[in-house]
Amino acid sequence: MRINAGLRVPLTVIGGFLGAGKTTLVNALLAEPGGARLAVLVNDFGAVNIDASLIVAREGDTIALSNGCVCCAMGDDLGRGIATILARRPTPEHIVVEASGVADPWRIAEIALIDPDLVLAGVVVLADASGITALLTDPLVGETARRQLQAADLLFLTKPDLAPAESIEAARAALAELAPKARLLTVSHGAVPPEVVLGETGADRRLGPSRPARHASLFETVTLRPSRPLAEAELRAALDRLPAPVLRAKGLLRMAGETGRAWLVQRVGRRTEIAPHPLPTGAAEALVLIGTAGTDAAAEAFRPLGLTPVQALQIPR
Amino acid sequence: MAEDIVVFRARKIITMDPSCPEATHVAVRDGRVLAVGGEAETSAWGPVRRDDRFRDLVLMPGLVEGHSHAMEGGVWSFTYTGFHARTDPEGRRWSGCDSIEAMIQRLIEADRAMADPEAPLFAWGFDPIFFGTRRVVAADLDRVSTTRPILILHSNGHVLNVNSVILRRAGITAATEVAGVVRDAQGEPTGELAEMAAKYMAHKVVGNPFYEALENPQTLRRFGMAANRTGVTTATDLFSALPDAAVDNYLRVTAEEDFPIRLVPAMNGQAMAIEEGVAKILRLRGRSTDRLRFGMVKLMTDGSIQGFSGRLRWPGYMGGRPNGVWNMAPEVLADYLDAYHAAGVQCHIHTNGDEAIEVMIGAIDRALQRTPRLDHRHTLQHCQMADAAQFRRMAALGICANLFSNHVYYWGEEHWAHTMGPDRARRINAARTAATSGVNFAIHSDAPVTPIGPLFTAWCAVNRLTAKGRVLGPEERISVPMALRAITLGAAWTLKLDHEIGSIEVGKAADFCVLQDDPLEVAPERLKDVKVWGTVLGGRPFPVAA
Repeated sequence: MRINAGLRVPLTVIGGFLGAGKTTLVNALLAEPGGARLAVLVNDFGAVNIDASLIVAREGDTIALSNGCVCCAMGDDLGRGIATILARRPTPEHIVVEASGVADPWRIAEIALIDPDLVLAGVVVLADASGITALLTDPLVGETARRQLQAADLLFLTKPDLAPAESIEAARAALAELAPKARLLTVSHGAVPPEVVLGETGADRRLGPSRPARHASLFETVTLRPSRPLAEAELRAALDRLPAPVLRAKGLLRMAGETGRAWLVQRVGRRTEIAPHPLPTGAAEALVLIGTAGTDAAAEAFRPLGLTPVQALQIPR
Repeated sequence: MAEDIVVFRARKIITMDPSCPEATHVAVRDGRVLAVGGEAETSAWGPVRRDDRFRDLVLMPGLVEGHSHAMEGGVWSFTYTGFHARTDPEGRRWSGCDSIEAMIQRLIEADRAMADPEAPLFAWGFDPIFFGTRRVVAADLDRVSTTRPILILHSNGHVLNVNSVILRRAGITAATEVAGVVRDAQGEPTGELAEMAAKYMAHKVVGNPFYEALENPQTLRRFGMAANRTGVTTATDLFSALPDAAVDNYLRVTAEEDFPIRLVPAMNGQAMAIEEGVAKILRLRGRSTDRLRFGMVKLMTDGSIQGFSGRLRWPGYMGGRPNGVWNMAPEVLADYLDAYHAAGVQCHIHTNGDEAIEVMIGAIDRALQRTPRLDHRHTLQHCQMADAAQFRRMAALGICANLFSNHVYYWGEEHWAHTMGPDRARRINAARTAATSGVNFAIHSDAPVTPIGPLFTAWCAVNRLTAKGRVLGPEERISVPMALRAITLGAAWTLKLDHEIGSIEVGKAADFCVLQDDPLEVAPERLKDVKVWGTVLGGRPFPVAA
């Protein structure tokens, strides 16, 4: 199943201050893109440490990988970089932009909101668990860091192994206050399933190579199928009630009283978008939830809407 | 061989050489000054050819613009809609669009001159700051055309106005939820677009010829013409990533016999990883020629003060506006600086706000502790808000300043009333304090942000008059001789070219600025009105094209 069967290319922004772990996450995604043909825009190649055995071609500002992904240096004009990527054939299935250490990731995310060729798949902001509380009060860059965190749909607290428990707790408290709309997740060494960063990409996980046992926590994905068209208000309310373990929800669903089109439902963190979408032929209606342990249980809340869990998978550790 | 030596006689020659400040004759051989003084000095080398064309004119060293952009030669491919009158490279005087109606009329003329009714019309230089609360809206531009896209780039380079054709094609409506789409009381987009996403979308549907102009050889040629017209013989292009195409373009155009200036580009030092940048600038150094000098790096720290994006120290912007933005994290900026410094590369560092200045002074201090280096001549560009203590510390560390004196005239009133308040505005671009602190300084236009024209810039530093006629910080005014030094030797020093240009001395390049009047004799408030005959570059006269 491929939920986003339209022509709009999903775009994820990875933000966070210098040293937050953005490059580690980008490297992990390029090595293991979850079956999606990614185009990743980075500030410079210097820091990206792509496994040389994966590289099939390097041409100017672009590195092509054997898994179908490309990594591009954005140069001094992000808009140009995105336009160049969109012009590539085959069109990438997902664009990831690594924001610069001082950029406001929401300003980048807005490009995906305004360009009809793109759809925003979320803003992921990283924060170094041991450094973030001090960073927030830094006289030079504290405001910049706060702006970044406030833009987040998903907040990754990184390098937890290097931080004492009390600073992790302090960081959690500070982030919860600063970015109440984001879902917070502790991530070590970029070890997070690509679905969490990208959203449901449609690739069949079970056929993929087995994953090394390095994910700190267990992730789950649940697929629900509708037995009848939905009421938008009801669906929205149910999505807004989803508990903390659910990081993302994405679906293509039909609404009651409508024919000929579907609605693309996307929730990242606590931001929900429901937008009309052409009904692709042959695509099944479904809603997919992605999250940590407890997502499976949370899916039960959709039963009264006629959405029934049909498949629950633990994303392999 | 008489033909080998040319002696120019002038009404007066201002040399900037303290051992011989004034002369009447200068002998030139092989493009260099062979002798300077009177009849006696310049006949000492044997037979000469006499050239008396400057008999009634005044010569001074070719002027040096230490902070400009070659884009000054590119913007004139588009319609000028600025508030102040401005002269294009060919010498046509464009009146200022001093009302929105005047701007519309200017665009209507441009529209009529275009054959294809669907072709996009691009304009530049507009600044709404002069029209109070009245903003330009799409309906204004729809009076010009409802068939062609119209896009106006504001003078700050960061905001656009577009017509309904562009709004429609870009799909920008009341439902568009991104920042920077300015809305009217009904929530409809007005056609004013700020911030990345909105501008990205406008350019996506009509293209970005401003960007493309940078790669056009004609841009450099017209930049040369614009510089020549104001007496400039050496100008910087102070920010380019220097891709191969740009380097080839520079090499090609500066080799053209008729190209009237020496060009000094600065590489955008942050456009690539640190090691890559260092390797690239060292490699480019080797490609320098007599009229093209590579080797300087530019680092960007903060934004602009009038755009509220400069980084300010306490108490910040008036009215409690949030502080500006860093172009890069301060510690990364310091790392870039460190690496270029250690490699012996000179850095030109964009700093507007006093916090950005403070951070970069600290970064240079650290770099000097790690890699002691005399005569680095790192230069804080703009350096607009530096206070006395910062200038003292700059002097102690050997840091130069290139002050944005034109700001006093163009935005002085705005700084007084809206950005930083009267007290800090009074000492903006504090040339007097720089001088008394012992900081080597230049003054600049940042063309095309303001028009290139060192005599105008000198006038600003000497008189400190705002556009409304207020003297902004009379204590910071400098004398005419000090200002003339800043636009010649002072600027040459910041480019590490003071041993070759910037004064008329034996052995230096025969680069002269030729004036109709003596800038040391005219009333200081008339300094900007001194007419430029043209220049001499390497001994060859370049009269301003009629």
